[in-house]
Amino acid sequence: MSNSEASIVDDRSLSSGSKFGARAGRAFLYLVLILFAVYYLLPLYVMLVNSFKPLDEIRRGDMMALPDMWTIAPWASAWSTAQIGVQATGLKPYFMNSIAMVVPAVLISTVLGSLNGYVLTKWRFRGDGIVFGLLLLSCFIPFQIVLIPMARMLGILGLAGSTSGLVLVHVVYGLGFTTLFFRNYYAAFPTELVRAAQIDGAGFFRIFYRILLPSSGPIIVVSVIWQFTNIWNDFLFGASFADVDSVPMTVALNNLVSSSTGVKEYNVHFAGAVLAALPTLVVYVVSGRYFVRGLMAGAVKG
Amino acid sequence: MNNTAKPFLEIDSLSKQFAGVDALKNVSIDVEEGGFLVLIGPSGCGKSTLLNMIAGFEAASSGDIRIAGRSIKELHPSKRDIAMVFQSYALYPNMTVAENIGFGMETRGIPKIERHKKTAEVAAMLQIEPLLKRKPGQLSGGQRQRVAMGRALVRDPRAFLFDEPLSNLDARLRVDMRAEIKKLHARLGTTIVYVTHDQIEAMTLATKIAVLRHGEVQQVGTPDDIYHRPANTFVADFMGSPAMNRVTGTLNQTQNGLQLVFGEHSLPLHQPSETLLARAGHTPIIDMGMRAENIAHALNEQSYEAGSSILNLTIELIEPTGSDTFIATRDAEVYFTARVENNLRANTGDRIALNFDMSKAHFFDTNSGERVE
Repeated sequence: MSNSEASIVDDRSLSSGSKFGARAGRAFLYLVLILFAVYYLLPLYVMLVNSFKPLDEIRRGDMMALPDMWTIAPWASAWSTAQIGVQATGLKPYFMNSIAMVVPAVLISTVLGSLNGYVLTKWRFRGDGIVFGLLLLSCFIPFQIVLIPMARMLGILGLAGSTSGLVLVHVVYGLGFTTLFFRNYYAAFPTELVRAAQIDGAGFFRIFYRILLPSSGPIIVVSVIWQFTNIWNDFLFGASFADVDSVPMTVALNNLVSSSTGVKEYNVHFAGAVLAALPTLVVYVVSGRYFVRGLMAGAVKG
Repeated sequence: MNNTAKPFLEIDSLSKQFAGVDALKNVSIDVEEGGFLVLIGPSGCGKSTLLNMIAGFEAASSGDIRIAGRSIKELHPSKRDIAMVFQSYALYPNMTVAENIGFGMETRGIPKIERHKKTAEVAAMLQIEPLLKRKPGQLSGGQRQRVAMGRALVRDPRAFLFDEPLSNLDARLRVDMRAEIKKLHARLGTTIVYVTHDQIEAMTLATKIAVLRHGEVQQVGTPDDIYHRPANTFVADFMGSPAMNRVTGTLNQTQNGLQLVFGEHSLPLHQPSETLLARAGHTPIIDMGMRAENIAHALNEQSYEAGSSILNLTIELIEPTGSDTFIATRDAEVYFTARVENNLRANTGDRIALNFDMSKAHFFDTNSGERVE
């Protein structure tokens, strides 16, 4: 940005021809950026527009047109009356299932990740590098590999098909990432502060919550966004391990869209898809600006 | 010397290995109660490791540390009754100045009223009362330094540990804070262990200096000892600015007494000791050291006869510092820096007559670097 601005300033001293050239270059730049933005926003536009149309308007075939008759009936149907699986419950109970799974999973994995990061940087022990390496490795294990062993483990623990079981799966899978976030963040945190607190008589947990946690805002946001998005959007674990009363939103959306009875209610499907995407959107809009800041913090401070 | 005072803080044959490398080798130092021990040495000499071991952040491989005769080696840092001022100050960034000072009392469960009272006392002593409600991020370097000292003071410990506390301050503030630490020590009379690599800090503050190098103690003594009777060439070079002049020469017995001959020059020894006289016979090669302030401009030019301690040398560099002027001279392979009057009228390339105060000469064994007396 600043480079191209600087070049425009420089160009002022040159002939009007090159000045025009600089303007044209900039206009082209904006054109390309706008085109990309439109390209990425188009699906959202299609979803929103069609979710407010009655079904026969969609059948006319003009996907891009605004509704002639605006209606919120598809939204109401998707939320509370649409046929999903055997019952006509709408997405609402599954939305609640997802919330009941995501909130504890995000909290537990973030808390454990921050404790791991704290121990791995400030309470070093023999072999801590190996422990961290193994935790990191877990970030790279494909989901499919663990499906069967995980199903067996959940069975042994008596958590098969339950929301708690899904929470456990997501905590285990998220731990590698949250540990990585917090470890790198705390590696840049001055050890002298921990030592000063030790002399002041603070113990392991007091140092953690009085000294480190208050300075951890940005990285907590990163961890929460990352975990929330991943867990909310997960389909494979939900489809594999959930039972009737613990099916998450993503799986329910699939069931709604791919149900084979009656007519395909595209408007309801669009509304359902937006509903499923809404929580992650909200999380990003609310805390997105901290996300980049937090990701950078560990890297720049060094 | 503090031989008469009984040791308060004793570091007893302490050793430490990091991954097979010796960080400290059999270090023994002690300080009397109320003493001010400065640990000094180049970076990597082990002085900070030693301080961290006294504080309890690092375990010793062998040896012992005692305060008032009792071993503290196995105690947790908070149980050693010490307070530490860190190089980075290590103020808790999310707490106000008052909370920073009071944190130690908070963890020890001291009631709020007493906490406030003690915090206020310390703040008054350090003149930081107006800052109590601020966060460390809003303070200048000097103010942070004061708060860090306040946090240590409020503990009223048996010993203070300072880890290069002035190294992050600008030159002017460093001098002010140095004086303030000295006054504080005089007023409180608490034992202090202070790590620095600044030899002026060491000289001005210490009652006792320990010079370390490669994890070994080179010399322990009063600032006077260290400066005027350095135990070896390392200590001689390290302490003092500009560095001590050194020249390798031969001891020669002549009709004018014992002479040190180097190149085409010779200087007479002032009241040579038996050891030096004996060496003239069997190992005449020796290093002489002389500080710049003991080499003066010889204004009186008539004393050029043999046996005089005046040399005629060529000026290579003139460095006026305001109060003094230092001149670097050179003659073949012989270099000397001398402190001369600040209004010296001379140019580089001029010859100058320099008078060596041979009663202040130091002698070191050329091979071992050890002091010869």
